[in-house]
Amino acid sequence: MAMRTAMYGRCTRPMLVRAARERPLLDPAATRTWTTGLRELALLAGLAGTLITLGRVLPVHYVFLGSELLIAILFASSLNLLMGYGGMLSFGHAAYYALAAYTSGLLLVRLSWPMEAAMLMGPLVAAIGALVFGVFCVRAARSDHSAFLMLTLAFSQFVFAALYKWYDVTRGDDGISGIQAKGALSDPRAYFTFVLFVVLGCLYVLWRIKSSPFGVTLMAIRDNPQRAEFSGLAVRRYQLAAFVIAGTFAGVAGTLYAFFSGTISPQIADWTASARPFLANSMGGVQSFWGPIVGVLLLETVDAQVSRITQHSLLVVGILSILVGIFLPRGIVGLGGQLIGWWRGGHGRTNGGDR
Amino acid sequence: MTSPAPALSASRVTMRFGDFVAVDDVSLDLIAGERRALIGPNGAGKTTLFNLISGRLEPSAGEVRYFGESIARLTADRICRLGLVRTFQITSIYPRLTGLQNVQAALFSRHGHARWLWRRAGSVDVEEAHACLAAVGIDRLADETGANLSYGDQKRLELAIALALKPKVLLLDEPTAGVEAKTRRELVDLIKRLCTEQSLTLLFCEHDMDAVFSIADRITVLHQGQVLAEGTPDEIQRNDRVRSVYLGGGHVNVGHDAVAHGNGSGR
Repeated sequence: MAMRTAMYGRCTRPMLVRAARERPLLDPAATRTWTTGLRELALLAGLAGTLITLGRVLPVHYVFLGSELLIAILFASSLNLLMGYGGMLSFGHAAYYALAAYTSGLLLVRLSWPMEAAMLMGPLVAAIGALVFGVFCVRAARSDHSAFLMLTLAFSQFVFAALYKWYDVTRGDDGISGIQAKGALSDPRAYFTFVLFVVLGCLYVLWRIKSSPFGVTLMAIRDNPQRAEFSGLAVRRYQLAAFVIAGTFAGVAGTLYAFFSGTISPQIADWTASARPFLANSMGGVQSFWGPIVGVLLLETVDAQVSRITQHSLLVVGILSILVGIFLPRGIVGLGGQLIGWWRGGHGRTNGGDR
Repeated sequence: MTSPAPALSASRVTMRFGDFVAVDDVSLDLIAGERRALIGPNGAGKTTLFNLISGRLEPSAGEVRYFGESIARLTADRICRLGLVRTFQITSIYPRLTGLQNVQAALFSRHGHARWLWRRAGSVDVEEAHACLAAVGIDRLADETGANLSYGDQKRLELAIALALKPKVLLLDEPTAGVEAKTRRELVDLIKRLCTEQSLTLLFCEHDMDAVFSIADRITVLHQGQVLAEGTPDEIQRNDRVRSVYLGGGHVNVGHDAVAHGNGSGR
């Protein structure tokens, strides 16, 4: 047993071994000691170091790809807080991404705000948008899930329509161009490093939120809102808080994207833009912190490879997500967890069923 | 009035659903420390009355008071925070959380820790959560997922959640329904012990008469939404009207009743 503990490196005290094994895999709320915190930090630092080095040596094409993936990962992970932890299926998450992207872009290009201020205002406006829309969406979530889904979709289409039609401000279909990062960040490699740090920082914050008492409370509400309400929790307030947090981090992704791309158009608020993080979550596995990350990598890879061959890459993505939906209800990461569980089961007594 | 306000008092509570009157002019006073059973045939209005008291429904007419304070128009979460805690007929836990997290969620709520975004849940209120689990005898299941527990253990877990909310008045909706005889006896003993240890005021509905007579020191009988009788277990057993509508004439004796129901099904 001691050997296995060492192999998994989960905890060092024998007393905790059993507990650690029986805990659901990959569940951030399961971590308990401060040493795991240090280990996480070390892991993140190692990862960051590797990626920074890659950012310096890789061909610039991959640097662009890296930035794009990181932004998509943050976007999907922010949605995971709602989908996986809150049990709220939002189909309009792009609204907050787009609000932030346009806020940053417009402030920088049309009002000539300093870059830093424009960058900060993006997520802030996204948070305010999420707060205003969220009040209505969360109210609907009480009655049923599809009402929540439809309302989030409706609000995002509202944002899309506003961006599209309000030509005087948003330039409609022409979009906003010339959103250029200045100074040190104007170099793509430097911007990649910046994106890297912001995204990893945000992922760490999201991880902490998900492992916090708030995160457990959110999961409790997801599991059984009635029990939560009859435990003294103002359920809707917690759901709204999650909605605003998720919207804010989507906003960070949106602002990063605006400066990455230089040009933004209303399409980033369209429902297809909301579908991407949604699919990434359901394919990667909504139950896990790592699900959306794996999902984005898979989705983007498939998309990139297939679109070389045919224009209908979305069709392939669609078929793939149907297959995952049918055969892997817990997503790719869920399958991974299951396989690890199997493997462990083969080396000793099985514990805790299909986890 | 010189005597202290009752722990829980419903006065002339009525609940209408359209033309149907589910609870009809019901009054009920529980003094602190009392253990009251609410019995009656299916559809008598027991669960509706629970829903009215716990804030799930707002009464069409009448008043519910908790230590003298009106609570009929408060939301469920506020009533719970006052110390009036309920369980559900169909066991209500968090199926995908571990046993420990199930109790922690209740503790986070009561202590206001649910708002904490940065501390690790694994290091907040852990001792107290283990204590609650131990109090109902399932601390060994702290790391097991709620859905994986046996039904009896889920019942215990729901009790642990309720205890974590530090109730003054506890409402149990059929606390022993759906479990086998041995588990039922254990649950009955557990409930009695918890009531004594934590000096709880208890209101519970239950169909199992052994459980009712073992736990309750007073019984209220509901029939068609109205109070048919109220009194000590002895008085209720002797009451002719109760016999005729509920205890099934003749079989007033608890033992006989159980035998009659258990006939042919083995014991």
